[in-house]
Amino acid sequence: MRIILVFALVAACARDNKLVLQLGSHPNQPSAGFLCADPDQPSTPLFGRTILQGNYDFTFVIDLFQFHDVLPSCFGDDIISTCNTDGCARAQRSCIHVVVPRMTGDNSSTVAQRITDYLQAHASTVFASPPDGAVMIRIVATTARDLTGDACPSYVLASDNVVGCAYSCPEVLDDISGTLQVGIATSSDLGDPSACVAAIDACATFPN
Amino acid sequence: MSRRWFALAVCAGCAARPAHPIPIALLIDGDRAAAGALPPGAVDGLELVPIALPPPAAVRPDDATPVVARARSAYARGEFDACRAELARLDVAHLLARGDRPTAAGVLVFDAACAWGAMDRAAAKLDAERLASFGLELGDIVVSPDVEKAIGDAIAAAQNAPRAKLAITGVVDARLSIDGKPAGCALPCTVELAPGDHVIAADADGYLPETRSVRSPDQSALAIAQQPAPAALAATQWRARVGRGLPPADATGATLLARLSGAPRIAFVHGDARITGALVVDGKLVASATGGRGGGPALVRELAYDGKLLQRPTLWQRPWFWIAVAGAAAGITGVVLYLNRPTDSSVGF
Repeated sequence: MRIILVFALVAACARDNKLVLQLGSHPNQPSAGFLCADPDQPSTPLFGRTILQGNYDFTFVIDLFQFHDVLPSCFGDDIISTCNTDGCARAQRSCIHVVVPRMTGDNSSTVAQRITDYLQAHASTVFASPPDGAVMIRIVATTARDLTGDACPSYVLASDNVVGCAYSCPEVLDDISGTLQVGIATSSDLGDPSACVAAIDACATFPN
Repeated sequence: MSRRWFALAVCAGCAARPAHPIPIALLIDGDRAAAGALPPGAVDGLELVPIALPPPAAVRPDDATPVVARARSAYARGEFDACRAELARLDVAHLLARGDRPTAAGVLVFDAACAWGAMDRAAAKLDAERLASFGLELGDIVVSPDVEKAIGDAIAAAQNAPRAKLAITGVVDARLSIDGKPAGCALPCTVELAPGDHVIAADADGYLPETRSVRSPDQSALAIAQQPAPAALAATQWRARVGRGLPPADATGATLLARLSGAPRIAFVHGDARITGALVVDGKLVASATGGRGGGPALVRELAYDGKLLQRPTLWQRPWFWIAVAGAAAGITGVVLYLNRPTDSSVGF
């Protein structure tokens, strides 16, 4: 009887599956979606708009989309097309205000590592109970700084404030483990600041 | 649902048992507490009937020595007829059969002496010859020199006479004694005897002792038939065998157990650091087993299974089988549930 009880308890315990978001292909190598040049000042990164009082001060708005009948490919065009035809719905959203210091000699790698460290310290859990089935995660960086907590908006973000965007492939989270990378895929040339901004705008503002 | 499964398991665990309990005598020896409780219904299908060994027989008082003492006094007073009348009450063959050679010697010596004193020389000579043929000695008995000489002559004549062979048969392995002395062989046995009277006694466990008187060399063969021992004697013999360190339930022990119980089936349980048991059916050992302290019922059940009194349940009729099956099923179910347990995913940095 005791053995049966132990088995029942063991069987009743669900398996914890912690998935770690990564902003690019490496902790200190952010996706191209966060590396657009500023169209107004092509020699400076668009991400520089987040600098405030010597810090990179911005908000990550992280959306979790749930797919219904169609599971699109990882290509952005497919995902946007699917979601714009009611094939997906935003199931959960989380806003994380990030403040990391700006330092002399910073480059994209050092800043990315610093942001990653901040996120691991302050946002170890973003979605505690994601829905079952295929989902996709989108991370949008915006200069809007008053969105955390209850102020985390449900509306579509204003593209003027978007300074970066990347998303994951559609995945069934219970079937994968480890790291979940985000990136951006587009047929446009992201070296062109205008095209890059257009791509992250499209990334950040779907579905219509 | 669980209650239904439990009922099914119980029904399946019911082994086939006889319509009526089989009566079986139960003898517990040694540490009775070690055997555990063994009430009549302790084993399904059996009716245990406890039996107890009768108490050891009281030692019979020596009724011969006082008679010899009175005869000796009469001889000393010269009352020879009174002396012979006292001694006539004793049977020398009986004394020899029970191994009491000193008393037998005293009877014959004083009878010879009293006959000599009564002028019955023939009778005196006959006593001397019997004393010599039995191989008895004068010992420390003092009689008249004439009588001592007659006895000495008879002993010398017996020692010088040629021996004659006597082939004795009877219960195989019965212990044999001649003239109150162990013969040094078991039946069947051939012995050499001096001329004259002899008392042949056979004693075997499970049988009444038997005595025969023979005269050598008139007889060359002797068959001694022994009757089965009654219960009380069988109990005494069984107790004596166990006391000598012999197995309590070997072939002879089994025969004795059957005789002492008077039952066709008897289970014997001996309690000690462990318990041992034997089952005897119709006087033959059919099963033996050992068990742990307090395991008397299990031991008797095993004996009944091994002795074919009860039908050993098949594997699926044993409760432990179903307990093991249920345990295995629970284990497999647990493993399957474990391997298929739900996943709680979370997303973070």
